[in-house]
Amino acid sequence: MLEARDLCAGYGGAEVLHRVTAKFTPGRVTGIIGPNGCGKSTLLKTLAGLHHPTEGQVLLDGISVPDLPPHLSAQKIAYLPQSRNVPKITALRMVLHGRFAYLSYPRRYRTRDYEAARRALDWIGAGELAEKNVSALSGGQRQKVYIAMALAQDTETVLMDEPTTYLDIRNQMEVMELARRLAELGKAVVMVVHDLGAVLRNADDVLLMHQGRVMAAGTPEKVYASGKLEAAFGVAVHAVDTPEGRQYYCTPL
Amino acid sequence: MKTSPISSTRHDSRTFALAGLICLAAALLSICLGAAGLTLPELWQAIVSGPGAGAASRILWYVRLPRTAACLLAGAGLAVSGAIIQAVLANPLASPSIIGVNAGAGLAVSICCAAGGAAAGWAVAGMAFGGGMAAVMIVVLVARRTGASRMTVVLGGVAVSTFLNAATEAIATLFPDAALGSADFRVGGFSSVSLNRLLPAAILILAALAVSFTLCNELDVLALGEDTARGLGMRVSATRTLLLAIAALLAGATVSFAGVLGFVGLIVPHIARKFVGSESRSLLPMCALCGAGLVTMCDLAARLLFAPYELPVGILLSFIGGPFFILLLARRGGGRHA
Repeated sequence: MLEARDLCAGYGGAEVLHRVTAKFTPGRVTGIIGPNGCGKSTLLKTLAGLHHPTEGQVLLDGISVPDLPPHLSAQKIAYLPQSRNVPKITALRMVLHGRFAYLSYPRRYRTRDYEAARRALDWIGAGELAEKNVSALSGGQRQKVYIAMALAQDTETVLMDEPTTYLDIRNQMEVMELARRLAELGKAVVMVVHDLGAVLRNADDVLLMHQGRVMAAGTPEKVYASGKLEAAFGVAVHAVDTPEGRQYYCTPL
Repeated sequence: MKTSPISSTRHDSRTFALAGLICLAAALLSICLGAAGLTLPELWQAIVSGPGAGAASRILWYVRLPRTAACLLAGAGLAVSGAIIQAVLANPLASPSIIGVNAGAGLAVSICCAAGGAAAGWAVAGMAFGGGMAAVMIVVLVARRTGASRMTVVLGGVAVSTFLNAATEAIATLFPDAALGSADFRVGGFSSVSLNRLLPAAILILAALAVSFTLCNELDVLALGEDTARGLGMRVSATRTLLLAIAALLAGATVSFAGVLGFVGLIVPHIARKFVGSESRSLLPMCALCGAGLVTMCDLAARLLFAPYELPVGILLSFIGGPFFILLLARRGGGRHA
C-alpha cells in the first residue's frame, strides 16, 4: 500500500506540502481535490518519487519510494502527468513504452512486451487504434492510450494528474469508468480531478487539500458531511439522492 | 494472440531500399565523375589491382574513395546528430549548426591546428568533440537558467555560435598559416580531405552511429515529455546528456575533417520524417541514408557545376538550406508556438 507520512515538499525553499499524511488502498479509487495551487500535483509527483520530499516519507509496502532507483519505482507506480506531449508515433508504440522500465540497455521490446501492449489497448477498448498515429487521435482517444500505457506498465499503483481535463463529458465519464476498472484489477488508483461532482460520485475515497494540507479525508459522504468542501472551495456543495445514486452539485455561497 | 512487432514493415523496407539505392548511386557517381572521369571497366580494374597501380588506381584509392567516404560519413553523422538534437531539445528548429555544436567543434579544431600545426587525426577529432560538447552544454545551461523555451535554445545557440565563430575567425587571422582561413574549413568542404584526418573521425562516427541506433526507444520516450519519461523509469538528465554527447561526437568528428558544414543537420531530419515518420528506430537510419546521399550528391554537383573550379560543398548546402529553413519557419508560424 502507498502511503505518505508527514510529507513536506516544495520548490526552491518555498514549502508547498505541509505534513501530509494519507493512505492509498489497493482496489480503491482515491480522488484528490482542492482549489488551484493547493499542492495536488506536487503531492502526486512526490508520491511517484519524481519530486523529493524535504521531510517525511513516501512508503510503498514499507519501502521508501524516493530511495528506489527510477526503473524500480516505475515498475511499482505508474504516473500520468498533467501536461503531456503529443508524440507522432503509433498508439501501439506508445503503449509499448509502458514496458520501458522492464528492459535494460539496449532496450529492445520483446514479444511479451508487444503482447502486453496489445492486451492493454484491447482492455481499454481501443485495440483498433493500435496502428493509428497518436497525433491524429482525438483528445479522449489519446487519454485512453495514455491510460493503456500505464496499464502496460503493470504497476500496483496508478497516479493520474487531471486525466479528464479538456475532455468532453462522455470521455470524462469513460476515463472515470476506466479508473474504476483499474481499481477492480486490484490497483490503487489516485487521481487529481477538478470536477467536484464527478469525484464525489465516482471515487471510493476523497482527499481534500487546502493550502498544502489535508483538510479532510475519507469516503465522499464523510468528506461531504464534514462541511469542509465549502471552506476549501468557497462554494456551497449540495447532495441530492436520485435513482442513479447520490449526485452532487455546487452553487455560489 | 496475434502480434505484429513491426508495423508497416513492407512500406518502410521499400523506402529504405530506395534510399539505400540512391545513396549507392550517388557514391558510385562520386567515385567515377570528376576532373578525370573513371569508366566502369577502369573502376573495376582499379579496384582489383589495388592502390598505386596506374593513374586510375591512384585516383580511386587516394582521391575519390576517401572523398566519397568523407561525404557519406559527414552526411550521415550530421543528419543523425541533428535528429538527436531535435528530439532531445524537443525543438524542430535545432541542429548542430544552429545550437553551436559545429561552431564549438570548429573553434576547437582551429585551436588544435594553430597550436600544433599538422596535429594528429585523433587529437583533432577528440578536440572537435570536446568543443562541440562544451558548446551544447553552454546552450542547454543558458536555456535552463532562462526558462528553457524552445526559442531560448535556438537564440542561445545563435549567440554562442556567433561568439565561437568570431573566435575561430580571430585565430584564422592571427595564424594565417594554419590553413583555417580556407573556405573549405569555414563553410565546409571535402577538397582537402586526407586519410590521416578521416580515419579516426570515421571510426568515431561509425561507433557513435551504432550506439545512437540502440538508443531509439530512449529518444522516443524523451519525446513524450520529461515527467512522462521519468514516470516510465528513465533517468532523464543522464539520458539527455548521453544523447547530446553522442550528437556532439557525431558533429564534432565531422567538423574535424569536413569543416563547419551547415544545414545538413537541420534539413535532413525533416526530409527523413516525410518518408518514415517520427519513430526514431526508422528515423535515425533514414537520416543516415538521406544525409549521406544528399551530401555526396551536393559534393558531386559542387565539383562538376563550375569545373575545373570547385565550390566548397558547404556553399551549395547553404544555398539549399537557407531557403529551406525560411520555409520551415514560415510553415511553423515562426516563433509563435515556441
